[in-house]
Amino acid sequence: QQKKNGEGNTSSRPRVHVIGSSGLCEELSNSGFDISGGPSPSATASPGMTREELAEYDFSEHPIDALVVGHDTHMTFRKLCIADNLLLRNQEALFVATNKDSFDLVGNDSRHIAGNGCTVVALEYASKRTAINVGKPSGTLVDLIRSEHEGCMDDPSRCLFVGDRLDTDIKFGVDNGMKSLLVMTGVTTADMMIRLGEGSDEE
Amino acid sequence: GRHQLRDKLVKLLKLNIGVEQCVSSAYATAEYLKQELPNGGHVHMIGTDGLLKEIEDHGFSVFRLEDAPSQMTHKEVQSFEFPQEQFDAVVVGHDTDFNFRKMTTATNILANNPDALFVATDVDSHDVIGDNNNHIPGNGPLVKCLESSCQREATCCGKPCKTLAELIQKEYGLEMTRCLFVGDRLNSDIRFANENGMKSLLVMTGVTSAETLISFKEGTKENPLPHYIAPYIGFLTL
Repeated sequence: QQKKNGEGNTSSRPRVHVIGSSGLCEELSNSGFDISGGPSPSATASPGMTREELAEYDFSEHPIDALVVGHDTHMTFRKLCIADNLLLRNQEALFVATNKDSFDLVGNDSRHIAGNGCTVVALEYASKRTAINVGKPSGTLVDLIRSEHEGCMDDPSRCLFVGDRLDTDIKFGVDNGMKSLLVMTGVTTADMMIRLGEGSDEE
Repeated sequence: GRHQLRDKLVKLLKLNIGVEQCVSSAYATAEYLKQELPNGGHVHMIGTDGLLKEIEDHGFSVFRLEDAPSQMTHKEVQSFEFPQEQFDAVVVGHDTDFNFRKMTTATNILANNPDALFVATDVDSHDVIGDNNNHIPGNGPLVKCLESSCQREATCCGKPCKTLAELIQKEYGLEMTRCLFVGDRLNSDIRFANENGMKSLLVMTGVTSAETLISFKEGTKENPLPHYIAPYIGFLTL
């Protein structure tokens, strides 16, 4: 919301291209942004993108002020292509990730599901740009809570952060002066804990 | 695969080249698999028909997702019947139809087969196409994506990795110091050549612009400077 409009933008709302859910798009739209992209691919375009089609695509018709990447169970090569080129052509645009979780476990028998971090690293590698991570363990969330709830978190040592992930939840708690509680019902297993021993910087 | 590579080169360079003189990343990958799994095995792959054919021709059975919807919701993942048979390798090759379902399937197969090889045909970040110089994400982004979801590192069979150098020396008996490697990319072609004892020639008709080259000054480990530079390959014939 602090970002100024890009040049030549006749609308009063900054333009944000989104990879992510309809919930994310709605949240952004309600906060005053013009949204492009989103979960549902075009009715006419295929999810894949051939070299021929990409060669012809005119990205100059599509200036943006920010690109936001959130979890999308309908992630496609087309979305990756468009996002990569938008990042390259709009170097001043913000590149933001809602989080960089690498994977999640679902179901009683621990099936793996790729996290948002997977799309983010793919895009970072392709574009050679680094995303700003607003998800844990980034301190952005702390700033947000403090700005919206006066008095809350004045003394972080009186806060207990509960999570299942060492590299995001626990790191977030530790980095921000809170106490942290790891529950064993998520991605972190007892084996992983034992292997880590004393812990490292990231965990 | 090698046949498509040969056809492309014959058309482009107007030279008579045999298939056996061509080494594509698909061929290199299949050769690596054969080297590591001499008794064959079962492979899950993401990638082109060319790659699939090379792997099958090298004596492996291959499973590739075909004609499935690209989306895969959390709910579907919870109840889906992922292939339960044992896999000996998971191979990632470039796929312009890469999607969440393929990502999820490969991740679960890798998780269920911790001893399986995890192999990438190459890790190119992008290619440049069309008059607008648009970027097409390479295989590298797809590999990074899967390395993140399964928390494992892939073995790269393409430039600039040693695997490919060892392969061509073994198969063709090439003397590296008598080889000139021509390419357009510092971090794969030139690095491959320089790190494996060959001479390198950078052509300016590809992804590397003069500005990019100058920005690397004396070169880095990841982006070394070439021994020679030419504006285009035909320059050698002048």
